[in-house]
Amino acid sequence: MNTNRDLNEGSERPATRPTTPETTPRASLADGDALEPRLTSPALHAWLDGEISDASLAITERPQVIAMWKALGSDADKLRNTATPSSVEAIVMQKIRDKGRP
Amino acid sequence: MTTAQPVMTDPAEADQELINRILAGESELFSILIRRYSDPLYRHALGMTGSPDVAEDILQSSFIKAFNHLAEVRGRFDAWLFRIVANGCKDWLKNIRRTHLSYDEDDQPSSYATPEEDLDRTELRTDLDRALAHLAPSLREAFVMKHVEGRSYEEMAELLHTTVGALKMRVHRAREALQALLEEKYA
Repeated sequence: MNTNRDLNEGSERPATRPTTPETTPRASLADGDALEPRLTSPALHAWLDGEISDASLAITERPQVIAMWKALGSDADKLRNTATPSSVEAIVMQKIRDKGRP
Repeated sequence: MTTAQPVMTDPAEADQELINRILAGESELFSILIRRYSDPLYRHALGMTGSPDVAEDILQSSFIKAFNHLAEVRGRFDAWLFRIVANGCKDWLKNIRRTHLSYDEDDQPSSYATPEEDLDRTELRTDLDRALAHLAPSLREAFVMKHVEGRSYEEMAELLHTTVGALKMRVHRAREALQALLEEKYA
């Protein structure tokens, strides 16, 4: 797994290992800066944003990459159905009863 | 024959009415607000921290903080509450990063779940959490809101008080980073 890219937005954490020129982190990317095209193609971003179809994406993107993002999407769907443990409400309400009015 | 039309209540107005009653002394009504909003907030905390236990702690402390400051709510209660939870998550991430700053990257806990929690996860979920742990909190937050919570950019912009363009940038950068970390194994 390629882990030698500094994936942090700013300088919150110093680099912990040498980087190659093409993976040297940018100092800081402000919100308005243009994104340099790297691993993720514009078509893949558009597909992940629901702007183009599977068929359109398949023309330009590797099947393995599409499969990876679909797997991540399926996993996210499962997480999207996660409910809050009932203990949260019980504990919060008990603390509120102990305290009284806000 | 005519049928009675249901009375449509604005959710923000309904929340404010509840808040007024809670402030007047009906504290038990706070449980309605918990039930109304806890699930998306829990999922946000879970996506941000990768740990059910930590997510639960952040949610509990956020609800108690919200109760204690209920008189200060201005505007939408759900957006105000979301910001309390979101700030709690980002504070936790900053603290855990600071704790592990002196370690080599490979020594850092790649995700923040306990081994017992990891047993309940798929390998992909664990790898995703590890990859997310490498992202700056603002990138992680944008990715989680877009792809785990399934929110629109417009909704995200409203909740985070920023622009759609800025959020698209964060989500794109998060995807780039995650693909870099995950594609060797999965693609």
